[in-house]
Amino acid sequence: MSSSERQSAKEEYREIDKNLEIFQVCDSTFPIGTFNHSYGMETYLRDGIVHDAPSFEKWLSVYLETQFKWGEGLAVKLVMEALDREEYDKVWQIDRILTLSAAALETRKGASLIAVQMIDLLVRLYGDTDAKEVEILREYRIRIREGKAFGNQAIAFALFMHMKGSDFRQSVCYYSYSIVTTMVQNAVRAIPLGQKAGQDILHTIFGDIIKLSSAIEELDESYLGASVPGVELAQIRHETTVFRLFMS
Amino acid sequence: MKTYIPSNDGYTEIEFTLQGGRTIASKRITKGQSRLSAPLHLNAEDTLVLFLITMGGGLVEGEHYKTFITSRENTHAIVASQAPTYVFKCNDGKTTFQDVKVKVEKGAELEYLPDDVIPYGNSKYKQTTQIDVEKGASLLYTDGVTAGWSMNHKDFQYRYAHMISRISYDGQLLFNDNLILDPHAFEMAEIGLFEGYKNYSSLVVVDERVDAKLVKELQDLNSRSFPGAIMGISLLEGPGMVVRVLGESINGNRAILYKSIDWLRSKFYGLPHLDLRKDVSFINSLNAIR
Repeated sequence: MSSSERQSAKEEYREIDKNLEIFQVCDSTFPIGTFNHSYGMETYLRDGIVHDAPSFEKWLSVYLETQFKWGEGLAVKLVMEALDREEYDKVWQIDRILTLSAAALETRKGASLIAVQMIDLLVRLYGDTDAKEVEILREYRIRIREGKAFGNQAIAFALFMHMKGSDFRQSVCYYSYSIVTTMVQNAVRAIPLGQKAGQDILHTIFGDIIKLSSAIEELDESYLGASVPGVELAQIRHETTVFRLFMS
Repeated sequence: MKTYIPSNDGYTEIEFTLQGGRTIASKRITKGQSRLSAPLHLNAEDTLVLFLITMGGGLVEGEHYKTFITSRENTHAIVASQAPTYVFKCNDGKTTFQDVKVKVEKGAELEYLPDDVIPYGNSKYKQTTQIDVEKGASLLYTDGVTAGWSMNHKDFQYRYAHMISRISYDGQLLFNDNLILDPHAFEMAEIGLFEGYKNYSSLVVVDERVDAKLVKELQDLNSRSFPGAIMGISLLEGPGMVVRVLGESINGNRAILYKSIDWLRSKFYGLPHLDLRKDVSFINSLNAIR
């Protein structure tokens, strides 16, 4: 192997290492408690509206194209832009607007619980690096404890991806992937669906993820936290659903 | 501040002040297409009511309406509308705007209860409502949007409706209610959107007395399902809550929200069932006044 070949192999392995670290955080087994949350899907399950693979897929694509796109998806982009410009206070502002756009108490509580576990785990894994993003993650955790921030997984994820040097397209798409894999796993358990049916849904939803990421490129802050009636009302009504597998 | 107001647009400015222990409408300014009813008192109670009126029956393409409401300390008043907000067709692709700015000062109680927005086929509408509630003030606020109206009697023929309500309490954002309805991008009857219903209505309550216990009480009061509608209630991140209804008819939704409004009026203000007297004869009498 020539020295230039060795050099390029080294660079490739560096890239692979980075990707492996991203896979870990995006994996549905990353223990941050997302399996406890259905984002309102369970209300439809109890009402018999979501009952099989096609009806679940319909709900999932509407959720992704509406509340998720204007909410967590857009937040990933806005946070990464703020970090590029070193406008760190903007992160807290996005946390506030995003959280206070959710009418459902359970949705806000759920997001906060997941965020805390995600931040703690990221700090555990990356605490020895002196990256600015880790410092912000630590501050985020303190702010949540002191009631000065609410906490959202998308914001913690954006901080991690920025630290890894990823751009917002990768970040939005990989974040969407991590949410979708968890939701599909939740649906497999709760509806229930077969594991293969779950993989079919996952495979077809990738197109939606690319679509939503390119739509987010056009969106500014005035869209942050927007929603649509049914998605939101299902999240509100989950609170009074008698039999529940999920916390939200 | 914008000083030039085109004659086809609308401008309304209202201020309520306490005078000798009674709430008076100390400012009632309208320009352009906007009008206000004379200050009225309801049958069953002594509460001051003003009705917002739009001449010509609706908002025309590209128009920009502005409304300012200020409730000074310790006042109690109701601002309602004479009719739903009809947003006429926008064939040239221009958006129609409505901006509302509300301030409720310490000790004041404001019931801001406009009717629903009814967007016509091909209309584009953007509504921005900013409501600042001071510590110790109280707010009941309803809003809603329907499947619209169109020549072909089909639902959701409008192009776009974006309605944002930013509500702050004690100087801090409490609720950023951001609703986007895009019938060109979505199948509006589908799951997640209107789900076969035609009307979406909302009540936002801000009051120091709102807490988890009160929300639970109101949830229990509404625990039986309503025919032709689904509803939900949740606590906001502070002394506020939201009541949401998706239903088949405007009046059905209104009846559901008014059940909560009546309960809250009695609990908070010691006031009776709200009767805005909006039957035909009442609207005729309003027309006679303007």
